[in-house]
Amino acid sequence: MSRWSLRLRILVLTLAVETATLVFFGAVAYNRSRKQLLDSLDDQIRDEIETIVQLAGAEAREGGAESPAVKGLLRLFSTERSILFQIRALDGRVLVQSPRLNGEGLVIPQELLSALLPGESDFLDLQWRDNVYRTRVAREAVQLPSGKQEFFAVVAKSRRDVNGRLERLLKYNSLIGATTLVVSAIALWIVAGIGLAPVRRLSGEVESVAPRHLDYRVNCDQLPSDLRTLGVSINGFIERLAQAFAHEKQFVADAAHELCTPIALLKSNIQSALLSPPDPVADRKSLEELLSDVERLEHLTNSLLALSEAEAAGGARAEREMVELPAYLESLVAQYEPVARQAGVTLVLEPMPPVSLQADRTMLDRVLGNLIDNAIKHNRAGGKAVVSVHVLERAVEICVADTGPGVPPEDAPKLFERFFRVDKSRSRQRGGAGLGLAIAKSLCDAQGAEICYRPGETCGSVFVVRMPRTEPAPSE
Amino acid sequence: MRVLVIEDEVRLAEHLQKALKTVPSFVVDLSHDGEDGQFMAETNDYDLIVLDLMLPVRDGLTVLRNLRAAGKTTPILILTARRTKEDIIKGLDYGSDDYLTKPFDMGEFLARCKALVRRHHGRPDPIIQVHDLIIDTRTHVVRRGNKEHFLPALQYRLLEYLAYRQGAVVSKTEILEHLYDYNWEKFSNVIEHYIYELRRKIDDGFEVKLLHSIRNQGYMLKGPASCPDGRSDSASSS
Repeated sequence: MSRWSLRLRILVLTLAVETATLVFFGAVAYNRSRKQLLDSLDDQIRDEIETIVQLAGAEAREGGAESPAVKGLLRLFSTERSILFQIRALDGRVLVQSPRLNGEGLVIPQELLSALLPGESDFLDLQWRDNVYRTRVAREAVQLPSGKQEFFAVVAKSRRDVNGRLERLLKYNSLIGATTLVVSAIALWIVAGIGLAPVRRLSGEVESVAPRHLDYRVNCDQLPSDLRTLGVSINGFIERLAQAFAHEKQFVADAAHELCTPIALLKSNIQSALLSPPDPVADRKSLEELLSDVERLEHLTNSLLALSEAEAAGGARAEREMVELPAYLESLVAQYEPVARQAGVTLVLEPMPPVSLQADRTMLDRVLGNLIDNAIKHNRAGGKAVVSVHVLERAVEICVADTGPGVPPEDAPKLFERFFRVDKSRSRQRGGAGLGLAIAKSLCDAQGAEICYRPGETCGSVFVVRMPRTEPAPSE
Repeated sequence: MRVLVIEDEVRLAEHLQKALKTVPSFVVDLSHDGEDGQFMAETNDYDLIVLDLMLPVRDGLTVLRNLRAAGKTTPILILTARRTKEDIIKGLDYGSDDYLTKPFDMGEFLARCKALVRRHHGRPDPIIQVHDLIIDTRTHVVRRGNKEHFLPALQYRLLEYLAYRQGAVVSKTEILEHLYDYNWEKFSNVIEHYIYELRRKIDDGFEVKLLHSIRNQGYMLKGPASCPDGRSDSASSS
């Protein structure tokens, strides 16, 4: 049912409720009519019984079966075809009865007769021939000079009329009910269609939102109040999509722009060399420059690939293993020693407690390697780059600090953006594409680690990688 | 013609300089940031400025706006990697004369530079004529009568400059400003030597003299019919 259209759903549910209501009220009305009809039947029977009792009293006083009262009684009831009567003695013997009963008597259970006390009466339904008869058995008494004479008066009246009327009532009610249901189904279908028009309009609007036209917004003011939240959330959804698209677009534009510069260099180098008269020394220099430009392009392409991998991978493919931090950092720092020495920077690894982490070693290599590399590059000659570890209650912080110029406060929020460089001209000459920190951040995000920047205490900058701990703190 | 290239990518700037120098008309100064570039543009009289937009210290658009606000009419060619329509419109609207996006073709770049200089001097025709002297700025061939000359770069540059400003008296200082780049020692007696050389090549043996020395003022290139302030007297129309 959850796959049905809203219109059909509304229709079916409403019809179900309507049918239940109709059936309920129909049943109540039917029962009420039935009870009234039966009550009035019972009343008639009671009247007949009274007549019989009166006549029986007269008969008893006059004596004999041939008395005018009995004749009158017989006459009275033989004309009324739907009524049968009996008068029985206390032992159940039939004294007088309708002439029609002469062939085939009414069968009244003996227990019922014997259970009746004087003056009591009871109703029961008896089958006689083809019809059910409403039967009343009353234990009555007449006052005779010889004393009180008790007898049973039995009157049975056919229920055929009542049943016929009830049957007609049922048919009539069902017909009315069915008609009502059909008419209201048609009406509901139309009304639901009108009522759901805003939903169709909304879906039409949303359908028209193409990836290229994400500036479109649903006009919420024209929506019914209960659809407004949907409209607002659709707008929010489009907004987020648009942002993601804009972000991607910006990235592609940035990447293309980053590629433009080395390509422009390559092209201008080749063309200016071709324009100038041949000169072995200058040409040699051009070739060396061309090689370094191609290497720069290579570096940029690799960085772009690494970034897209880092962004796409998530934590899924990370191969975590136990990393003993002191030993790991020692070997990592040793790798960068030659670079640091060349740049005139002292690379220091501060002593740390023996702590280990669950981490992806390649990811750590990339992130920390990038930070150490930055700390060496963006430093002053004779400066220091310090790697230290701080063990917190739930995390381990690996800090890389430098004594370079630091980051201007207004640039700090943009540090981890793709292609962002603090000093464009300077870092471009050092081959940076402005992607290192963006890659580091993507890798950290994928690993559930955090990376952040804070200014150094006296100078320079500090980059902190905070990794969640997987084992209790070492007892010190 | 003296050109200022403001480009922070040092090697690209050097390539531009190298390429511009293959055209005898141009001498080139380089600047690698916006502030320095603006200072150089303000303190020297350049014939063309090539301006990158993304510059350290001060961005190119600000430099452009400052120069125009200071009344500099020097033609400015924006050479940038920013290639969106909005960037181009903005660059031109801020007062640049041309816009070229990186990566670019060096031949196209040079052609645009020459065109900007021609238009700046109000002489869109690449052939400059002074009376019967014809200077072809495309091939750098100078012809008078049936004599054809390939002049050394400095002589050609001097003649071209005087021809662009034909009919006007051009001072030695102006000549020094426009024909030498920043690194040259500027000696005015060098000019006299070049004028002598030029006169020997284009005036000797002709009855009508074109290159005139105006005592204590400078030099003037003009035909016999034009008045001293004859810039509008375009010889190229004949």
